[in-house]
Amino acid sequence: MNEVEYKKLLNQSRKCISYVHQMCICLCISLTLTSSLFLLAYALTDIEWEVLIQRFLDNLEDGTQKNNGKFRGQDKLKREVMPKEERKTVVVLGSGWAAHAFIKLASTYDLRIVVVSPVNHFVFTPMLASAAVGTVEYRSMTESIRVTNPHIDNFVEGRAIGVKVHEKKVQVQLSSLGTVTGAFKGIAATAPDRLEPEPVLSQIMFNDDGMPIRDPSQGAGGVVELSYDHLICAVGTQSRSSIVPGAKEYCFNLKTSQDSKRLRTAIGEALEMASRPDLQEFYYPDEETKIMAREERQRAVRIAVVGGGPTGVELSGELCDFFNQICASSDGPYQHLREDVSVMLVHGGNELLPSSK
Amino acid sequence: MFLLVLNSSIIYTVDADLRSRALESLQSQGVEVRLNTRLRDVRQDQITIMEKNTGIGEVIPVGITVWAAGNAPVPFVRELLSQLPINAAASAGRINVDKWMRCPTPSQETFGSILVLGDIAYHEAQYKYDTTSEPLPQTAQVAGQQGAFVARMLNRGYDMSITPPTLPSLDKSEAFSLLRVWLVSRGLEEAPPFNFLSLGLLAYIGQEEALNQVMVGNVPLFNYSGKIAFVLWRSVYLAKQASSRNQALIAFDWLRTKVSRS
Repeated sequence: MNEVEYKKLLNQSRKCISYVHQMCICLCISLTLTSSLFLLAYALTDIEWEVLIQRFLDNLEDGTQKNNGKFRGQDKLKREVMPKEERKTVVVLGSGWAAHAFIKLASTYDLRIVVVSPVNHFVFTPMLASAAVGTVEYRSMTESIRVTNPHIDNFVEGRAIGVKVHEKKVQVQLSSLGTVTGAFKGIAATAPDRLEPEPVLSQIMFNDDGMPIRDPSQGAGGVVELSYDHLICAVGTQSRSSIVPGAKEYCFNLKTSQDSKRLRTAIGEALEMASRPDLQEFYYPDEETKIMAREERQRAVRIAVVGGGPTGVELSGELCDFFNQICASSDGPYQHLREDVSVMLVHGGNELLPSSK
Repeated sequence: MFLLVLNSSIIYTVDADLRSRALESLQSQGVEVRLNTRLRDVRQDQITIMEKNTGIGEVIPVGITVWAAGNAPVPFVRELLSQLPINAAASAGRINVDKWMRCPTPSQETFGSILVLGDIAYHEAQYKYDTTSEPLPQTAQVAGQQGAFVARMLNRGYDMSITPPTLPSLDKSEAFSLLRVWLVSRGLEEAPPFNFLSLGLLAYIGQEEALNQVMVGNVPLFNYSGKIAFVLWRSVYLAKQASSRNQALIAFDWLRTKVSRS
């Protein structure tokens, strides 16, 4: 065997090895591919394609229906007008997620849409926790119903208090517009602030068997009756803090933009209260009162969050961020309270966030 | 008693890893997390809590208490239910609705005139591989999809008083409209029932970290937690805003908070 033959053989064996190598790699890749394809196929059969495709087609339709030049009973392209009497009247109760989604999409050409809600704006509720500590402002997470839906027939600021199902009528207690009527009454300069929270109390009283008692004088002023063809009832929920004694009176809620505003003010005031001279150890001579002052200071800035759902968890996280920024950092305005601020999360389940039972 | 987990359906289940991650993250930030604990009493300067298993009560002095636990329908729902037949009342003061969001009414003529959406609607759905049906969770996702669903039904002009809602028969004068052709070609002469498409859950847990659970229907695609999840959380929330004005405001708010609070 000469050198040339040896090199030839070596070359061939190398080629062979590289072939085997490549084959191996190919096999590996194809194996992983097929297995992942299998997994993917598994997932793909699980996804409800029918629903997804229909949803996609619906969205296409929405796009064409929204910008087709037809709004408020007027067809701008054909120059036709749909008279008010021919359009169905839809009364929407509420201005939350469901109502907002409805109003945004419903055609104002075919329908007369009247929105009834005690608040004149939609709130992007996942940001309530952020707004309570000032990460975002209230104005950023709210959208005025009238501004975002200029073509709806009307917006009525008020609260639905009764419904006549047979006659297709709904009674609405109008909100008192205190600032402008204040001028009328001669108290313009001291009129109650419009943004001052109205208590979320019902106008409806119930007797023992759960039947509503109506105040006879209530109908005298401020109640209007709206007739409808369709009533969209999306009034939503309110805090159910009444199940714990004292919770209704002493707990802050986080359901509306006013709630987050109020909580933000309260947190600011709590920090200010803890900074008052009468709660600083420095001013007290003896050990006992020093300890009392410290405990009182720590109490003032201890925040308890009740409920470990998404809202409770987000609020706790946001509060921690907030305290880190204003107390723990070296240039924070409340760094003297670094040791005192604390957040507590009380949860009834054995794990945070919703889980299956 | 106090934290009744009413929405314990499968589609609203958060992955176990994400849940423990949330707990760890909050604890590492110094939040005192009390699990299995009931709130017994709230006073102006203290709360009383009780450990469920041991029954040991504890009084904790607090400055501010925030209620983020349970919600109940507003009083108007009771008023509405008093006008509706007895089978309209669902558990926890909610209203039973059918697959087209209609609640039962006392007479046939008024059926389909009242549509109930969102948190107060009690709607059961059955999922693939499930034998039992479960109520939909009370979340913004469900409410938003229901609102859009009903808007589409009314836009298309279905006759809501019959089951299932059907397109009205054509008059002679009425030409085939584009919308009608589109619907018929999709096989939607009858309104489709409401299908909830769960897209998962996003939650912020502090320190610029978040939890993501992204899913399509009941198929989970991925679960993330941490900084990357936080970026997704912020982009989704920004994209979800209805007006570009609010998008600009929120982006600016975040920037301002990053630079300095107060």
